[in-house]
Amino acid sequence: MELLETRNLGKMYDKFVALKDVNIKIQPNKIVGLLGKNGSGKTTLIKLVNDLLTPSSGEVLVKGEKIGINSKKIISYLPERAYLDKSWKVKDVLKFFWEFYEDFDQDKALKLLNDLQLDEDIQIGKMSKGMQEKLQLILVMSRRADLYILDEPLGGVDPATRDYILDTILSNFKEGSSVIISTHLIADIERVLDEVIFIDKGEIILCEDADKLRKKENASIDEVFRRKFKC
Amino acid sequence: MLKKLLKYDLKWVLKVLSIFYALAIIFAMGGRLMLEVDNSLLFKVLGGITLGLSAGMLIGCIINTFLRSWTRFVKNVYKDESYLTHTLPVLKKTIYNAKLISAIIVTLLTGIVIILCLFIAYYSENNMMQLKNWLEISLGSAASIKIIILTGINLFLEVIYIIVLGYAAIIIGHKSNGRKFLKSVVYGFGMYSLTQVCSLIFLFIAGWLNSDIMKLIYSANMPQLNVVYYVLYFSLAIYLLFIIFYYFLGKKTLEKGVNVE
Repeated sequence: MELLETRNLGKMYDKFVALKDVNIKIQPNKIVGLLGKNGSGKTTLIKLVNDLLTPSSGEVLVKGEKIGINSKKIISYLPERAYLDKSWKVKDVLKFFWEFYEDFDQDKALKLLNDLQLDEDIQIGKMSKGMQEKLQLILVMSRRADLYILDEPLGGVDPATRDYILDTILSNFKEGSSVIISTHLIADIERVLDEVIFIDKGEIILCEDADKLRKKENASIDEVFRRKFKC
Repeated sequence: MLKKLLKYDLKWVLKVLSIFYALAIIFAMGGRLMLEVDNSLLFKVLGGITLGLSAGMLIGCIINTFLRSWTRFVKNVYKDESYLTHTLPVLKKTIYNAKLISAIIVTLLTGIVIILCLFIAYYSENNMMQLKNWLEISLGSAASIKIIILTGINLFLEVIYIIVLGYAAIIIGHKSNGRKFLKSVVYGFGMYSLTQVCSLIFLFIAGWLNSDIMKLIYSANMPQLNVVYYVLYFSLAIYLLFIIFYYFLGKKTLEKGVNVE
């Protein structure tokens, strides 16, 4: 059974088509790159999978079930924005995650926070944007989820932070689980991808095994991406 | 999960309201003390100002009961924080119920604080007698505590009705793709006006069935006690009806899904 499947998934805003007939299947134990230019529909697709948008057509299935409590228990989602209550302290948000997610590993979160030398008593609103992003990443990666969905985790950060983020993702996801990373910064994540999905103007234009694609095109994923999305 | 959500909702709403509660009570106590300690003009003026401040805080409590309940709802269900809310392993109706129960608890607390402040500021045997006499004169017969309780329940239900109507308007307004806030406000006013018209229609229907109620509509004379009871029970039933209607309207619409920004 597929970990995640979308069937003819579509999203329209009035007359604007944001996503059209998206059919994808994600198997367990894969790192998948959801690749596309800005505004191609990556975030819309991710938001639909996470129940933040209502589909105009089609459906999303997680382990064969429609989106609901069970799917939310096994998906760990990192949005592309700061979404935590700014008045909370770090320890409050740890408690919140521990209370609501059965799979939240508080010890792991504390260890990762300690590595960052982040004080538990600091208020989120007083942290820098970069630090807030790192905190969110730690929270998401401290869950023992079956599917991690990371929306633009590398967007707008310096190369050193990119390395930290990638390292945190790769060394903390649960064995056997899958990771979907949405980005347009392909060169940074190319080496870790098992599969790639290219999305453009709300449509899936390519969905393939990363190694096979490299062999077939005799080029890196980054190069293939540049060719496909040449302006 | 409901309990956990409720805990966080209450914490957020009461964070500011508890300051208003504390200040209202402190000012009520201060005002009363000043009026009790000394009968001089200075203390009378100071006492009056302090009681005025307490009344101001109570108005703040009432306004904040509405505003913080609605703000919490919008922030949690449609703004940045909704990315956390909707990815929690919780049903949408549980999220909705937690917000509503928190609003009910806060309304009750606000009511208790208002009564407490009035009690602190004005309670005396003489004042209670005056109130009783005024009620007897106004209603033309021996008014009972029952009327005060029924009026209190009606006021409480009115607040809940406005909050639930606000939730429904926010949910429907946020269904659209643009100008969500403006549309929520317009829907809110529209729905409020519509329910007011409906209540008037229901009142006229009740008037046809009971001539005493019809007299209340057309006559400027003080109503008889039994008519007052009729009207209080009638409005209680109407508020309950509207609360149930808007509760299900909001819940069902939310359950159909959201489109967060």
